[in-house]
Amino acid sequence: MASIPVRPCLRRVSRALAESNPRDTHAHLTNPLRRWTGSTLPRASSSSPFSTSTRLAAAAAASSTRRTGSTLKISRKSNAPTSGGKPPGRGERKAFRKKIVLSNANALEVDGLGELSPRAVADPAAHCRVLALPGAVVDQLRLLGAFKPTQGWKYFRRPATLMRAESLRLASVVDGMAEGKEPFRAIVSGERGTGKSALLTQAMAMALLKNWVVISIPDPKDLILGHTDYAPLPDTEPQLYFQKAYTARLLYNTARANRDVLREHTVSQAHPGLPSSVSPDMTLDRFAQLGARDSDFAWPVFRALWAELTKPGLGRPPVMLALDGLASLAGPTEYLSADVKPIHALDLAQVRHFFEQLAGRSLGGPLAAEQRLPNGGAVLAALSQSERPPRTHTAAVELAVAQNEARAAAAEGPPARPYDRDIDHRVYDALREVRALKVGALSREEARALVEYYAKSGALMAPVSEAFLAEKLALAGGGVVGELERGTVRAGL
Amino acid sequence: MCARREHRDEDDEDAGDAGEMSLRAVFESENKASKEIWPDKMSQLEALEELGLADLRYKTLDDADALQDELQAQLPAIRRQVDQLYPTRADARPQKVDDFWHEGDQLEPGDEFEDDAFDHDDISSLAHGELERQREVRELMRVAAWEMPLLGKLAKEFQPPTAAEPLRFRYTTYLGEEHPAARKIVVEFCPGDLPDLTRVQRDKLIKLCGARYNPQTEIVRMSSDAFETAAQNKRYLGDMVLSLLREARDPADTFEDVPFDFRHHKPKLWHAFPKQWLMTEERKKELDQRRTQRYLAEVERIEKGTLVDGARIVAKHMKQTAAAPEPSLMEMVGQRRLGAS
Repeated sequence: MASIPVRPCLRRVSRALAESNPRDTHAHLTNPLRRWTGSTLPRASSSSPFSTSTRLAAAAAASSTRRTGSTLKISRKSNAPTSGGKPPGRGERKAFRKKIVLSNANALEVDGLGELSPRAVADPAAHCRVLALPGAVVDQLRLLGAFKPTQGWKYFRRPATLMRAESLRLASVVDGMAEGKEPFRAIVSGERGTGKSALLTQAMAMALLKNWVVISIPDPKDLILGHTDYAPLPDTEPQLYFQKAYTARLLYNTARANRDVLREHTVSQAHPGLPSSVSPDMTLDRFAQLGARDSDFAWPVFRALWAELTKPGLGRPPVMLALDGLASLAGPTEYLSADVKPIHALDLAQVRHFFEQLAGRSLGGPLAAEQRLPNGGAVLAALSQSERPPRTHTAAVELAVAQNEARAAAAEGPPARPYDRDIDHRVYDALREVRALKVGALSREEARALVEYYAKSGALMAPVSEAFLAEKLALAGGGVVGELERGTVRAGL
Repeated sequence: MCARREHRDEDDEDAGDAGEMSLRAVFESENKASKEIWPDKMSQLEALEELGLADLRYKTLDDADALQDELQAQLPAIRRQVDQLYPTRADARPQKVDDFWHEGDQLEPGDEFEDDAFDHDDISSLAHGELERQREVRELMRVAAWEMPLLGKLAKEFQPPTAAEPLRFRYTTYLGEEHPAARKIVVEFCPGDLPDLTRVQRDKLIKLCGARYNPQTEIVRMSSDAFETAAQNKRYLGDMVLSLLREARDPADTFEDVPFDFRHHKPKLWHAFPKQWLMTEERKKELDQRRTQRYLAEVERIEKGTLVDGARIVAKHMKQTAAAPEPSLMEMVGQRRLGAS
C-alpha cells in the first residue's frame, strides 16, 4: 500500500486552504495588488476601446457584497457609450478594407533598383530583375484598378515587380505588336498565389509604357452582382442589356488613364445617335469624357470609341483589354429579364463585348461588327482562385482552360463533358479556342532575385543564403510567389 | 466387445488346461472342422452369451450336443426374453394412436424413431464424422495421384482468337452443382474489331450500347441469364449483337448529332512514374553538378561580400540615419516655408 503514489486532489487542497483561512472577506484590503486595482476581479484591460470588460468589472465590484451566483437582472438598456469613440461612418469600414497602399516610408530604398521603361520592356536581359514601376504608370494603373488590396505593395518603398519568364513573354508580345499583327488573346491561368493578377498588372504597365490604350475591368463581379442599373438594349436579338452607370465609370477611368494617348487622336467618322456636340476634330479623350459625364450616352460612346480605336489606317494605337476574375462572368447573373429569368452574363453587352474580343470571333447576335483588332493589341483575362464563384460558373472555364493548357503542352486534355449540368455551354463554346497562358512556380533564380529584393527593402531580416532560399522555396510549394511572400515578408512582420 | 473377446481368450486357455471347453470354443472347433459357417448357431451362441448361459463347461462335444438340443428346445422362450430386453427398431416404432385426434395420420417414411439404446460399444458420432472425413480426403488423394495425371492427355494447345472471332463468351460452371448463375453468359467485344463498320457506324454502335461500353478499355460487355439454359442465353446474346450491328449499319439515323455519353464510367487514374525522375547515373551526376554550382556560387557570394543580408542592411541604414541627425522641427518648418514660397 505504501508504494501507491499519492495523487494530489485539487478539491481537497482547496478545501484545506479554505479551512485554514476561513472566509477572508477583507482580502482585497490586505492584498496590496487587489487594493491597488480596487477590485476583487482581475483588472480589465483598458487598451481595447471596444471592450466591455471594464464596465462589467466595475459592476461586479459594486455588487461584491451581494451574494454570488447568477441572479435574474431586468434592467433597461443603458445609453452609456461603451467605447467613447465615434463609430465608423457609412462606408468607412469598406474603404479601409479596400484601401490600396502603394508606398511605405519605413521600407528602405533599394540600391540599384531599375525601373520599367519602354527599353526594358524590349530587353530580354531584364529576366530575374525586380523593376520598379514609374510613378506616372503607377497613377495610370491605379485608375485602371490594377492593384489589389491583398497584394503586398504596402511593405515596400515603391511598387516594383519581378520580371519572370511569363512577364518576358508578355513583354515580347507588347514590344513586337504592330499594326496588322494578330492580337494576343489569352486566359492567364494558374494556381492560387502564382501571380496571375500581378502578371496582368505588369502587362498593363508595359502596354502603357508602349503608348497603348488600356481598358481594364478590374473587378468583373461588379457587372453581374446586380449592383449597377441595367436596361434592355433596343433592337437586339437575342435581347442584350447594357449597364450605363458601369460603362460611364469605365469610360471615365479609361479616359483618365489613357489621357495622353487619346489626346493625340481625333474622331474620324460620324456616329449617329450621339449628341450633336460631337465634332470631327474632337479628341478621343474628350469624346470618352463625354460618355463618362452623361451616362445616358455611355454605352453608345463606348461603342463609338471602340470603333474609332479599331479603325485601321489612321495610326491608332494598339488596345489592351484586361479583366481579372473571368469565372465571375461565366454564367447567369443576378439580373432578371422581363419574364423574370436570370440574365446570362453573355447577354450583358459589356460582358459580351469582352468575350467576343477574347474569343476573337462573333458569338452570334448583333455585336459582331468589329471583332478584329486591326491595329494590334492584346486581350487578357486572368482567373482568380481566391474569389471563386460557384461551380456552375467555374466548371466551363476550368474545362476550357485545362483543355487549352493541355493543347499548349501537346498533351491530351480532359474530354468535353456535354452532359455535365454545371458546364455552361455558351461560355465553354466562347472560350474553347482561347489559348491558356499558365503561370507556374518561380524558378530558383527568379525566387533569389525576389527574396534579395525583400531583404534589401528591409522587409526580410535574414541573409539570403542558399539554404535559406531552399527552405523558403520548399515551404512555398516550390516557388508559388504568393506563398513565398507570405513565408518571408509577412511572416516577419 | 473387446473385453468380451479377451474374456473368451482366457476361457480358451482355461479350457485347454482343464480339458473342458466353453460353448463358444466348442462351436468354433466344430466350425473349424467342418469349415462351414453356422450363422444361426453363432447368433444363438451370442444370445446365450448375453444371458450368461454360455459359461457352462462341457467335457466333450457330445455333452455339448446334448445340451445344445436341450437349449434348442428352450430357444424360443429365450428369444422372447431377449426381444423383450432388447427391442429391435421395428418393435420400437410408436404405436399408431387410433383416436379422433389422430384420424388420418399416417406414418411417413421419414418419421423419426427413437435411436437404439447406446451400448457403449461404439465411437461417438463426431468420431465417425472424423473418420468419414479422413476417408474422403484419402479418396481425393487417390484421385489426385492416379486419375488426375491422365487429364493431361485431354489438354489442347491455346489458339488465340482470330480476327473472325471478335466475340468472347464467358461461361460459368459450378462443377456439377446446381447454381442459379450457372446459366449466365457474358459476351465481350471491341466495337473496333467488328467487321465492315465505318467510323460513323462504329460510333453509333457505341452510342447504342450505352452504359455497357467502357470507354477506357473500349470494350462492350453484355450478359444474359434471362433464359433457363446457358445455350439459350448465348443464343440470345448472339442475336442481340447481330441486331445491334444491323441497327448500327442502318443509315436512316446515324446519331452523329448525339454526343457520346460516358457518364457511367469513372475513369481509373493511373500515374506512371515519370521517366525524368528515375535516379539514373546521369541524373545523379547532373544533380551533383547543379549542387556544386550552387555551392560555389554561394562561396563566391560570401567571399566577395555580395551575399544579401537583410539584418545587416537594416543595421547599416539605422547607423547612417543615426549619424545624420534628423532635422529639427524648426528646420523642417523653415524648409517647408521656403519650398512654399
